Amino acid sequence: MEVKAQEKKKTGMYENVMNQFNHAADLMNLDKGIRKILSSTNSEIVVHFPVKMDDGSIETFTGYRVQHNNALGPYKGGLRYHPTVDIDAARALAIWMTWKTALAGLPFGGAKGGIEIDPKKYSMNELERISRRFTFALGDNIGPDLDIPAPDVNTNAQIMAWISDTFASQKSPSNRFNNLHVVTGKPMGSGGLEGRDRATGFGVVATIKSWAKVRGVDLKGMKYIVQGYGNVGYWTAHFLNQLGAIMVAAQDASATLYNEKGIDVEALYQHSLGYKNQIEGFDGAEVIDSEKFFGLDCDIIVPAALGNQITKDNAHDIKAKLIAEGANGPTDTDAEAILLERGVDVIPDILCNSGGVIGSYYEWLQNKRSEIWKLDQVLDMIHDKVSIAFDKVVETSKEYDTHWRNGAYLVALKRLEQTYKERGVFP
Amino acid sequence: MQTDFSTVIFCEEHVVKNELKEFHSLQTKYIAEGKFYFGLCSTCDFVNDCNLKSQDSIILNCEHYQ
Repeated sequence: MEVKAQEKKKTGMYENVMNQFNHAADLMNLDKGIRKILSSTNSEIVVHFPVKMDDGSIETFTGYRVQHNNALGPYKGGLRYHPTVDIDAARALAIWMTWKTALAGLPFGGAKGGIEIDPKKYSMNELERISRRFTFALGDNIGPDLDIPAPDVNTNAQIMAWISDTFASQKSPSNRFNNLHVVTGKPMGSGGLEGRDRATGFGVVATIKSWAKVRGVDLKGMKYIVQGYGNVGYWTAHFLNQLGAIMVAAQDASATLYNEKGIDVEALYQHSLGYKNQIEGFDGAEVIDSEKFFGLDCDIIVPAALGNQITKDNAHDIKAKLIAEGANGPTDTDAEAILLERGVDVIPDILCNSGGVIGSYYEWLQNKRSEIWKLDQVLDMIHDKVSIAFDKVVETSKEYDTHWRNGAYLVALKRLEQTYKERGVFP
Repeated sequence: MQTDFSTVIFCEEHVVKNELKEFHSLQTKYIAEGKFYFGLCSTCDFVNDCNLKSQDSIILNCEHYQ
């Protein structure tokens, strides 16, 4: 009974994604037929496949791939290995990807999937066989011009290399190299993109630069705080530092650190690498109560860890001028209303952390063209795409007299609506 | 029209509402008395002493999941 009571009050990503979609669809008076199309997924693939374990026994696994929409191009989205992977989670995340790729102006649709598995329980050799057999089971439901998976929770570049190799190995010899880009997020030696590791953090900073331009402020000397010092948090801090901004606090699962004179971004990262990726124990800042984090005196907050962190309980304490959502869904609806009322700008997640999927697009494009691009080229291209998307969101928000989150959804939905209106619905 | 004695597997009146629903079927893990975590938190190494976790939401994305 207790579990049921808890389930009732829980809010999930799907609920948020659909609420935001419906709200934006109402605002723009989205065509009813197109609304129906976008409210359901195109395909939902469930595969059960056997794999031989190291001890000779056989286990069966369940894998999923939900393909939400491909009006703008091939489906795109991650594959995660986790016990909570199921069709519902995959749906929510797939829909989210459709909006994200549409907003970023990419020729991609949205998908998500994975295997219901706790990878900690399996050896590296078993994980390789599981990944390869899953790829085989998905068959031609994925492909470089159909559906392009990427790393997600518990999957990495190595797993992408196995998937790419397995998929390409099933093609005729002359077609193998045309199929290696069935996935993105590959290792550098297998067609990976230079700078893919920093693409999301770089994109976050590109949106912050656009914000500074719109508001007519200088980022030099501005104080910022970062929640989450993983890949997104660290690279955001790294690039903000290059612009002369000062990180005064950082928070992760292990600790909340504060130094009003500034925390050494690189030293903190080096410390975390040697400490199970945690910031706890760093001696260049004092440990403070985690509850005080969002109320700290600063100009910019970058929540880059997880969802539902800024709520009605702490939104009133925020002193910053800007929230740049590096994570997905860090600000809930109630909190956003409070922040907007108080004049705090929020760069919505769908725009703010889009540098990652834009990086994936360039990896795919690089492979398609059989080219190898340099880091500076890649970062310049990501910067352009993010800046264009930001300007479009600001322009659309003005046109509809609404906030930037709605503006972002409106840009995405307008792109999809235009495509459907031009092409019509077959037959 | 419903019959009490057999499982109905064909029905001309059958209707499925054309909308997606989120069922909170995400697996849970019992952590401590009265506490259940959903989504990624349910298998995260940091769940017992995490600074960031939220009791009121299902976490599907987290940069600190380990």
